[in-house]
Amino acid sequence: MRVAGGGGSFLERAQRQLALGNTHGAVEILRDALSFDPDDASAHAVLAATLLDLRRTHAALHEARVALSLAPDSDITHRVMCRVLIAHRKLRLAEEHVQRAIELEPEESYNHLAASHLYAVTGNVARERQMLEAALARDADSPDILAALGDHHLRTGAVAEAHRLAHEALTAEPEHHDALVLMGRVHLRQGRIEDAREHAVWALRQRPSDREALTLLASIKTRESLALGLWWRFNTWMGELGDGRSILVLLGGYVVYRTLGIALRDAELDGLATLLTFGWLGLCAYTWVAPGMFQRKLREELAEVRLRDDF
Amino acid sequence: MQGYQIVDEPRPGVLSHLTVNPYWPLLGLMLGGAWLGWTWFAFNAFAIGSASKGRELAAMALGVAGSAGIVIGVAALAGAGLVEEWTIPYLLVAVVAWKLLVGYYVYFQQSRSFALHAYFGGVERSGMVVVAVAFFVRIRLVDAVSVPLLEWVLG
Repeated sequence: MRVAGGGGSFLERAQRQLALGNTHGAVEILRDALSFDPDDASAHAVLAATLLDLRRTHAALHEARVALSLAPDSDITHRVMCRVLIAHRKLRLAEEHVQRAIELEPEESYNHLAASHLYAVTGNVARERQMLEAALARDADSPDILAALGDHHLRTGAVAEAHRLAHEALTAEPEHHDALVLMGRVHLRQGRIEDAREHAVWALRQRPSDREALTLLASIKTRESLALGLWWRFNTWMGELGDGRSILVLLGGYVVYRTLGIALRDAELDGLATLLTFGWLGLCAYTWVAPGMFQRKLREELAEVRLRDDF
Repeated sequence: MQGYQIVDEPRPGVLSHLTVNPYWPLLGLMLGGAWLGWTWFAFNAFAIGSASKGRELAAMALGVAGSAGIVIGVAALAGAGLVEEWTIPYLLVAVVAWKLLVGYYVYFQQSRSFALHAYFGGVERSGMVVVAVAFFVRIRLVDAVSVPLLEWVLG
């Protein structure tokens, strides 16, 4: 992989921005790096990963392909390609790339961590655990790996072990995003709602649109009030839906509404049909304003919660 | 926007000052009809310099062909006596659903380019007046069009 004269410093700056949660800033730095040297495979690979974080999956795939064509024997480019392909749900191809990354650099812990993410998506719990342990054996202090292993334990019901790993990850890096979310989920499982909320809020302050942190906050809301919690869950779920699934949900609703409307009029139940029309219009109006309302409630939530001094 | 260009970033042209948020053409499609929605989406794709312009235009062409296909298909089925008359309104729901499917698809595609257009400080115009005028024009237009196929495809 070729890294041009200024490339290394560009990459360091981009990675610093990413660590601060400033993904757009990182994109601009990587743009500069690639304007300086369009054949810098590292910059293309990091750009692909950054675009993936911004859900620009089409562009991420393009950048990952360019990186791979420039550096076909780099484990990093194969690892990034694996992540991008997971986002495109091309899981078999993703596995080929992550296996190639491990072949190229068997001692790189992040290659095993990437494989564990893939197996988590495919639901292969045993392989996921195996890869996480392989990653931890190679880098026992990495908060990324500790948090991922803790998440695995929490999903399999080992709450105490998940708590220990979350604590260890936060000791290594007190503001580690994934570890904060994990600790919040552990606290929620243990019934410590206020602690869970503090961790969720802290994680959301770092990444306001993070799906995991939003889901955690929605779960906390559900514990406090079922109605409010369901509203939070519904909005989080709507936010999680990709473009394709959103279209299908909206169209499914429309077809049901129209078919029911025609059937009611055929049955000469005009009053009910009118009520249905108003209900549908209300739902349409709600879906237009709901994202704005949800974001406002989220901002209020983030502003209202004060973290304890000893947090 | 300078230097290296990422593949999904818009390439604004001379019409970029006429860019609207894609939800206006979508609303135009719903309230004014396909004739407005799709024409406006196509114009906006050029105004933004949308990176997915080809896909958007292809989808809209498929939208027109698909709507016509459904209407002709339903008419053929009814003409051949294969479906009863009372089922026709139910079958024609498919035309509206199809147009909305295409409309939403183009909307989501164009929204990505629009978000980047806005991020780079591009101009954004309001489409409210066009939608309001189109809503009233549609009623007259539907009255004026005496060909049911055109009415269903472009309405």
